[in-house]
Amino acid sequence: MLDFFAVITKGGLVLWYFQDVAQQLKTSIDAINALIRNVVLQERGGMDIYTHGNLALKQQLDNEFDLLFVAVYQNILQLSYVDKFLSDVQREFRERYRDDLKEGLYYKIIASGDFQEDYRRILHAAEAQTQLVKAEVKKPRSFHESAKSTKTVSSMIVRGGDREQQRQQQQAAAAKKAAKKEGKAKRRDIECNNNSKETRVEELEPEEDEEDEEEVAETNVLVNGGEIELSSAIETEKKAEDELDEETMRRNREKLFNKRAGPKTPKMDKAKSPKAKGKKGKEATVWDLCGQDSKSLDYSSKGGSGNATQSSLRPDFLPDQSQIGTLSGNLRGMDIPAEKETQKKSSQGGVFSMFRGLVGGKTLTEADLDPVLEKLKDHLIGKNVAAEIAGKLCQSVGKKLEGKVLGTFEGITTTVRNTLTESLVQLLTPKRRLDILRDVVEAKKTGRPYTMAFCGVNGVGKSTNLAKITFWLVENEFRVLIAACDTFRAGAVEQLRTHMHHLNALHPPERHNGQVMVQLFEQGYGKDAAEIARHAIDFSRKNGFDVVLIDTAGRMQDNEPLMRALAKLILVNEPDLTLFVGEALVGNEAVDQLVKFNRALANHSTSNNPQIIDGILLTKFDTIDDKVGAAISMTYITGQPIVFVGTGQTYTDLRNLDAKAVVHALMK
Amino acid sequence: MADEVRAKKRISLKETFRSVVPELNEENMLYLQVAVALLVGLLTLFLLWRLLRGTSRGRGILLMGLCESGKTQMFSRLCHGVDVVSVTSIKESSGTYTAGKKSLTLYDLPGHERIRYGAFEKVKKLARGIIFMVDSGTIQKDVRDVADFLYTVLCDGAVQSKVSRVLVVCNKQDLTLARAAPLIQKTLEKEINLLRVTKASQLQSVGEGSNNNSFLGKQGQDFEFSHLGPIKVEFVEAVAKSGENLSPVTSWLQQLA
Ligand SMILES: Nc1nc2c(ncn2[C@@H]2O[C@H](COP(=O)(O)OP(=O)(O)OP(=O)(O)O)[C@@H](O)[C@H]2O)c(=O)[nH]1
Ligand SMILES: Nc1nc2c(ncn2[C@@H]2O[C@H](COP(=O)(O)OP(=O)(O)OP(=O)(O)O)[C@@H](O)[C@H]2O)c(=O)[nH]1
Ligand SMILES: [Mg+2]
Ligand SMILES: [Mg+2]
Repeated sequence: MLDFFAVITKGGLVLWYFQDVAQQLKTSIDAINALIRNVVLQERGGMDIYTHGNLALKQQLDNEFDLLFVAVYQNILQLSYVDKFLSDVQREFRERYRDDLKEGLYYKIIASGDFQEDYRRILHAAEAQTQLVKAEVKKPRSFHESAKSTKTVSSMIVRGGDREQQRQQQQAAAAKKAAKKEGKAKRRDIECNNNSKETRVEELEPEEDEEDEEEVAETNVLVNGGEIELSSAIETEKKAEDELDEETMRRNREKLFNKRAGPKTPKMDKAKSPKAKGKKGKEATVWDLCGQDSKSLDYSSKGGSGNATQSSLRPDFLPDQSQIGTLSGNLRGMDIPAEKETQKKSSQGGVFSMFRGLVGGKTLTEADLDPVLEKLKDHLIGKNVAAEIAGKLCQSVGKKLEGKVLGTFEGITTTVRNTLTESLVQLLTPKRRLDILRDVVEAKKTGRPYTMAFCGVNGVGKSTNLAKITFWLVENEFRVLIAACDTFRAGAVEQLRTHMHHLNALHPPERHNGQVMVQLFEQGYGKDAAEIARHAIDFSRKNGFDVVLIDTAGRMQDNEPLMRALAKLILVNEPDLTLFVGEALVGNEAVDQLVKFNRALANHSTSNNPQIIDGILLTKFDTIDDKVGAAISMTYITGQPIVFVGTGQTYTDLRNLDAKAVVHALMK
Repeated sequence: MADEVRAKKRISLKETFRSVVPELNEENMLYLQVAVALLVGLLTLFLLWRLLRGTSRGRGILLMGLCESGKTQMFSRLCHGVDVVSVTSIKESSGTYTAGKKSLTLYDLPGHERIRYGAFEKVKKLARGIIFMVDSGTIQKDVRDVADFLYTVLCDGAVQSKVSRVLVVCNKQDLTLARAAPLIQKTLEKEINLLRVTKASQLQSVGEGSNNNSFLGKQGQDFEFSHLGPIKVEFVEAVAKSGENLSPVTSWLQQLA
């Protein structure tokens, strides 16, 4: 039941295709284009199925002849034979056109177009095979589920009949929920206390809804393309939740029984459970906070003291006047010494490539590649690339190389290294135009300010780099309004006010036709950040500011209420650029942070094309030497470009990313 | 007899030589021979180099432009005279275009941001001309992206030294919403004028050649393509699909061949 099947060259030619009558050619081509852009060009080659709208796509690379085999079918059909079918077709196609493919006579193949019958034959064989398999295997579906539940529940309750299973399922679900809550409470949930209003609102929501919502959102993310990563992450998380320890399970079961004790009908049960839950959840949080608060969360006083020194505007804290004027125009690239080594190598390749045709080489197999890839993976992890990402990258490179014919003068190691290098450069190269100054001009033309929102976990450098970006924009004659939407951390507003004073001291109104270049928009602490941002944008529109920079409170990715608040801020204000601020120091944690930030923005959005993170600000790049892996992890997860790099603590320490230099440091 | 004559001749030749260049004796003769041999060797080397350079350089025409602008379509039309079904290219491909007795090598480069510059680096040294494809239907929406790409290409060091002509092809003129070439030229000029401001003071990025440190056009004047000096930029309208209107492109290619 394939809708569409195509054999494509890497040059973009469709050599041959089969099309089901019901399907529009354009739809399939669009789907394949999306596949190429979001999977092949994003180094996600190891991925299995890609979904685009209601279509599922599967691909197979042929590296010897630079071909791509793609099968397109309806998402709801779970076709099990596609994998085998793809390789069967690949084999037959190669057999049939081997000579033409070797010579690169693609247009001859297009003209001949006589693959139809072979294709039919292979398809029939594949379908017949699956029918056979299906007939053989006919087992109850719920085997896995029931087995699990016997282990966990049936030892406690002994009841018979249909209802039992139903109840078991319910219990399992509830246990999961409770476990989730508990897990959440265990994490450092500082904000729960302060935002207790919000928390309560959230917990009063019926749990059924919550579940549904999550599921809908999940499909949403998938449908919207590109971020396949998200769904897989959700899945892994769910798995982790399944594997909760006995202890929690037991406790949850007890809770459940207590709840059961009163009302008997399942309906009543359901209706009451959220309330009971809410209470319990709240109790847990309070208890948890009491246990931890005084010891480890001495947050405000720390922030306060730091702030006191900063806001006192001592003369030695005034920024260096010599900085003025150094950051006008576009940002500089980073100062990583780039050597010409790579160039030399490529020219050597040019010389040897003459012989490549003459002397037949070795075909790369998985066995050849694996040890090399394993080593490279370790190398990447050593450079602070998240382990999961390093694995996926190497897998993708392996897929890219398998079946490729090596020239006599090429070693496996160098080939793999070069391919990986190329892939990494490609990955770090932005997939869209990045010219913020130009976009600011455009926004100005349409009479609105250009807005940028900064989000990220605590202490990564959001406020500091916001100030640097302000400095850069002011140097380029743009008026900037800073919206102090961190209404949570003590001293956050004062920190920004200090920056404002410094920036205005560097660029006094006298030098800009009497206009104040930087202004702070603040409404104190404890207010709703989304509202403040909205007011700030209104204010800037009325007062002729060109750019609004929104500083948000740092938040841990697991803090549900705060993530919800962030999503609201983004949803209400629709910033032109939503920057995720991340430290270059971060390792494996990067994956979790970005996936969850992205998911929060997607899930809590009501529109079906939610605005998610569309740029990355990589800070503290000066502190990591050559362990630049975080840049790779972050771009890989989001597929978004690194817009700025922070390289120090003064206003001028802001750079553009130089993909080649970073990859060079990485591969050293 | 014959030997004698020959010997005489040789002597007489030597004699005359000596009379012309009196200080030349046997010993010096050797040096001369070595010098001549060296000269001939160098000359052949030079000729060979010229020959190789002549064939590998300056015969290339690069097809560039954003995704979906119709490069692969144009390439297939020009090189093979057929229409194709195409998807996003992820690798460059090359083909020959024959104009009369001469031929040019056409390079179809991918337009996707992630790979366009990588592919461009590979072949830019071979370029004699550039065909820059523009989708006339979506130009209004994409003008900033198109201008950004064109600006970067025109600023490139290799382009400025090797490429003499750029043809901006306003493709897809068969669409009802297609913009006319002069209008597209105006929009692009206006946009590049702005880009010069936002990009002009960009400092050189480390390890990236001579990109973007040249100023396009004339200082103090609004940007026009006619100001570009050594590079001649022309705008034409075309329809690549089913080869409906290719004559402006083919005649340009013939001029270049
Ligand atoms: N070395 C170095 N330090 C940096 C950089 N950017 C920020 N910092 C430092 O990181 C620390 C935290 O910066 P903030 O800007 O307060 O961080 P934040 O993300 O706003 O913190 P919260 O608002 O509390 O979440 C400060 O000491 C900064 O000086 C950088 O690029 N390099
Ligand atoms: N209406 C119309 N459509 C065209 C014309 N030329 C190309 N197209 C369509 O534009 C789409 C893209 O064409 P391609 O040649 O694949 O685009 P490309 O520039 O190679 O794109 P990339 O390889 O992604 O950079 C195809 O669907 C073509 O049918 C034209 O003259 N008129
Ligand atoms: Mg802050
Ligand atoms: Mg193409």
